[in-house]
Amino acid sequence: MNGDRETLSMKEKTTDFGRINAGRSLSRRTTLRGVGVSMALPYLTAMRPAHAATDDGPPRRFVAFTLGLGLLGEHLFPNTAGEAYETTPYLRPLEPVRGRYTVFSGISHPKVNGGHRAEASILTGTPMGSAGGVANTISVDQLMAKHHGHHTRFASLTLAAGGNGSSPSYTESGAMVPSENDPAAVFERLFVDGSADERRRAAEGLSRRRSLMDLVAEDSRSLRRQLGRTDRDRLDQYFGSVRELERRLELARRWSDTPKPDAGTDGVDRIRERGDFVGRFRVMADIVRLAMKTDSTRVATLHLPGSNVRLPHDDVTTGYHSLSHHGRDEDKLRQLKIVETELVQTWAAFVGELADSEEAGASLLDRTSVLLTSNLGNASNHNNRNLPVLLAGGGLRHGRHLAFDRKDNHPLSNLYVTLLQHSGLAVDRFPGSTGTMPDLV
Amino acid sequence: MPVAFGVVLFGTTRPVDGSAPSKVDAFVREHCIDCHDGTGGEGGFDVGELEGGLGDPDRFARWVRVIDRVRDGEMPPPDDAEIDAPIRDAFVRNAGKRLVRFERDRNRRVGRVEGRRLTPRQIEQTLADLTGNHVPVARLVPDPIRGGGFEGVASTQSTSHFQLESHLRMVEASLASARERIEGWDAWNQDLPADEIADKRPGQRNRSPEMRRGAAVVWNSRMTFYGRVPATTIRHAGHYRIGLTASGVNVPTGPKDGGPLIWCSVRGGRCHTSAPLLDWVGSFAVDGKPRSFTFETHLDAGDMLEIRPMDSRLKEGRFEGGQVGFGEGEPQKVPGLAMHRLVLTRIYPRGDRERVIDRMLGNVPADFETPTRGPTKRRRLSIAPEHRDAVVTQLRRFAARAFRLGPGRANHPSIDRYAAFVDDAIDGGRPPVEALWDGYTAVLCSPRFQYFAHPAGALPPRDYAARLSYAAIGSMPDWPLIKAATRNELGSRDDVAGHIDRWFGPVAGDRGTGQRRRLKRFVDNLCGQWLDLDLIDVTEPDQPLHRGFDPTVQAAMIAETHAAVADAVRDDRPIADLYVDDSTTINGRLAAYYGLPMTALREPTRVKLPAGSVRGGLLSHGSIHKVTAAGNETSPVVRGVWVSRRLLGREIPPPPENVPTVEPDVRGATTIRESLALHTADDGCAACHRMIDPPGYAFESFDAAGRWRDKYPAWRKGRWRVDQGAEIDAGFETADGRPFANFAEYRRLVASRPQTLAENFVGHLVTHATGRPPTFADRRTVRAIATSTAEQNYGVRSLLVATLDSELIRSK
Repeated sequence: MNGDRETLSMKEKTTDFGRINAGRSLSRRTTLRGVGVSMALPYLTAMRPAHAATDDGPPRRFVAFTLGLGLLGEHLFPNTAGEAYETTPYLRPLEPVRGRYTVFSGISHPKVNGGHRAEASILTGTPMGSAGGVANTISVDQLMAKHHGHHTRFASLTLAAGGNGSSPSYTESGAMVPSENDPAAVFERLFVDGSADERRRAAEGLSRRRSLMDLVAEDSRSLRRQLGRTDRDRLDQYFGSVRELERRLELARRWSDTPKPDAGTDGVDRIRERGDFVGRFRVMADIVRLAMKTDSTRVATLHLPGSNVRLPHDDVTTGYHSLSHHGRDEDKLRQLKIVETELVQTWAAFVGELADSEEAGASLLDRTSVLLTSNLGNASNHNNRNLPVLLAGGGLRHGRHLAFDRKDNHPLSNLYVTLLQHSGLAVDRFPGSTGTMPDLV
Repeated sequence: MPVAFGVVLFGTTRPVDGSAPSKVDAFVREHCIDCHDGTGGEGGFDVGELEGGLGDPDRFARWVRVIDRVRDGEMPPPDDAEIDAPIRDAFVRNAGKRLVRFERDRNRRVGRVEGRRLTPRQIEQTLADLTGNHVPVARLVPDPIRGGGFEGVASTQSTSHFQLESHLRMVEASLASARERIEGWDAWNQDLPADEIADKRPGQRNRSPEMRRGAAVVWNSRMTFYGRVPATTIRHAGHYRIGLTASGVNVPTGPKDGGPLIWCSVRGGRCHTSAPLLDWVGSFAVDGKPRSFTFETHLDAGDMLEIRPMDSRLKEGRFEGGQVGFGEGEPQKVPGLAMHRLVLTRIYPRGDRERVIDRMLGNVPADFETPTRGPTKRRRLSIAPEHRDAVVTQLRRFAARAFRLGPGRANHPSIDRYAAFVDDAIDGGRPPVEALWDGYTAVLCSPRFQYFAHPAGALPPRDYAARLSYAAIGSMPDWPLIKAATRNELGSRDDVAGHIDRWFGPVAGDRGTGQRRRLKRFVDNLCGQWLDLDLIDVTEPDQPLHRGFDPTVQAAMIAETHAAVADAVRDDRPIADLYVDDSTTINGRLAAYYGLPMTALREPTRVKLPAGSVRGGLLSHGSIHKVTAAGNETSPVVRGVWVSRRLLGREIPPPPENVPTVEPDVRGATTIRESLALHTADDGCAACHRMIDPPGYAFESFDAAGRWRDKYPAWRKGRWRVDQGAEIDAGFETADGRPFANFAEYRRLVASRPQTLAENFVGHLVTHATGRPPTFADRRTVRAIATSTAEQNYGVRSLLVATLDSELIRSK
């Protein structure tokens, strides 16, 4: 499935909208430096093969599992730092891959507050404030997708095990990427080809929409001229979105000639119980694994929203969200531990399966950085410090508990800078960062 | 002097232009800097943060906070320093002027609010008006981000190709449905007698009703989807009227066991484990005698109805293996629902097919071919290529409406490129119908359709008309409003009031179907956002602690709030009566839940409450107690902040970075009140908590599901016991020192300040109508709007009209 990569170069449309995102705290200079893109180009460069520099070497992948309600620190964080740390109840299922992952403690996003609202900041590091006047910035996964997305049919996957389409992924314009939460539909999109006739009609539809978007883009530009300075930023953002959609429609059309890969299975488990969010989480993780294995995408996020459904389990009688507000109630803590153990186990199983998958002689895990984190360190009082952070694979140095100050946390974004650099992006900062994460490379 | 727009310097430096430091700076230097110098300043405040341009929103907010706290005499702390009133007032006035000047200048240059996008709901209604055909397309896109409850807040909006792609999805769905309406004869109606409603032979086990004495019966049980009626499976997505004749079986007699009625629900969905979500359609109550009920709802293809008893108080039947066998319910003597007849009729709330043809085809001569084969009665629409000019004219007509250009503006140059596109496409051999629909798609993706974008300054009449219309009826301006805008007949308050009367019906007068529908939509939108009712399902209280709370009760609570707001708007009732009232609108189920005697009311009815009742008015609505709770938890802080912001119009800044949150501890050693008392003893915390805590404590008398409680629940012997924990203490004192002993006294204090309540309401309406909450410079206007209705006792309709007439709405 190497597609039409060589022909993807589209006619460069130079416009007077060159600096669409100027003024955001994540400067374009920072993110683009060193990846072979000149500053004069507009930001719509995600699919350009100009990033040939990153084409060399093995593929770099990134998967982030994000939890809306955190994990109980007392069952997660080891008491001792370094290699000889004693395992904890939650980490026990990870013993088989002990040398291939790192557990962090004392990590958070500086200045990011607001309990559940901080979900928007998990992967962006930008404090959202309460005034509602702050625009978010690009999330670490989308930044990677921007630079690695052109290799694959899907630039990225943004999935959730339930919820209403919310996700921790944000575009460069600070807009949330809606998540997909129907496993069967995602599986179909990734692996199931329509009939030749359906594919032809779909390709026609994509071309048609593309030409309509072209028309809309021209109109946006002329409206902007009429409005002068008042709503120029809005119209710039809109124009950029139209052009980006055009580009994506064109790419989708080109890929429509290429048969989808064989997942080696006909479908995914159907989760029968409405409340079985762990089951849904597991099925979605499975889809991510298949997507990575077939190189359908190299970047994925999987979010578990903090909904209040009750896990169908004999010893769980209360909804997940209510459990997270345990108020130190022993019964709730006991039930919450059951749920959270299953969640970490799902992550552990995912890591284990990647470790066992091979790609061109290497383990898939060595080419995939797999993160598990949350916006909450303590869901009971909505605290955003001391986040759970686990990282596996990606060819980094692992096998330790990297312990930072629980009172004065180390920035999570330092880890993001390390991951971005390791994936081939010459980035030296990310919102909230003060440097890189030591001792990983 | 540059100070006006923000370069303000304290400490040792003088203003950059070398002029003498202003009085404002002098005040800060003299009275603030001693305690608030540097990053270690008291309360986490460093006066250095005030230095610099006011364009930084954090710094601006900081200034507002400083001015407000000095104005209220909180700062400098009265114990530490005494400041003469004239000096204090001068500071407040002069510093305030700076902020106002800064905002006014910016408003002059770029406008008060940035251009904003229509919300998905507004797009849904507008597409319905443009095509003459309603499709619930807002469900197809992710929920928009809310700011202070409202969806259309400009600063929360950002655009990406994902957003545009979902917009395209809404547009395509709407246009495809309009075409189906034009081509189809989809009058699919069902008239089901009892034996067709039932779908269970003797010996069979499933989740459908069974025949019993000539009726289709569903026993009371909590089993998912029990009561599904496969014969109602919908073939064509659309709006349906549901007519049901039903009675009760084994109806309980007294309120003790849930009588004298059996409350039941109608819901729609796939009724399948792979798609388990059910949409609420409505509730109804039956007794022994058959009665008829009518509901209207939208159903998707593949949906079916689930109709069942829905009352968690009733005795439940026990059935094995997730199925109910024929006859297994009978010996258990549990209450049941007996259905005698079920009629489904396809309806078109926005008008008939002719209307859609008029909107979508205008004067274009169209042909309809009946296909020779195929199962549907659909006739294919086609247009001969020689009618190209008529097609282009029709596109222009449609676009002029979509772009809100006004009558006679179909030749506006902004439409030229779309017209040329359709023209060229037909020229290039694209079938004219397809070319026209392509043109519609592009027009509806244009920012001219999706955005409110205006030049700075006073809005041109047509743009003002659009604001008015979206604020009041949630959709595009209708013909009379556009006509008025074109004739410049929107300039006075009477003009605005006239259109509100036309839309919602005159005050206290009779109203037609359209007026009722528009008022309902306004009230749904307002309550959904201002009062967060859209989010009422986000968490669910658990059964053991909240026995008796179920979807029927929740629906009745929402209806109670909708009715209160609708009555207030309709009859121009005083805003204070919206908060505290001696009557309320409830049905028998909610009456029983609230412990009121009117348990036999089958329909929501406005009733006079018994003397001494705590119910009546928003502060007592179960819906409000529910949306301010999380699951089983209530927190006086969360509720206090919500009530302050939404109902009392008090801004509460977020807690400072360095303040630890109270760790909830339900093990009983301390009450939340004791924990809070500890940290509110601190001056820094007290500043906000003196506002947050009074409503927070007063609301402690209501549990997470809106039920009155005298005691907290307690965990005893392995389970929760209601009313066995510590006594609720709901007494406290208001921020301005008025004491109250309990909730009833608190709500009287709230209602005694109608001007405050009116200003709060105006503020939320301003957010709703303009996409930006009132700012510092808007405060005076908001106050004036409220005051202007004092003679009408701050009537809610008067407040709405006055707000929509104000300069805040009339300029960008």
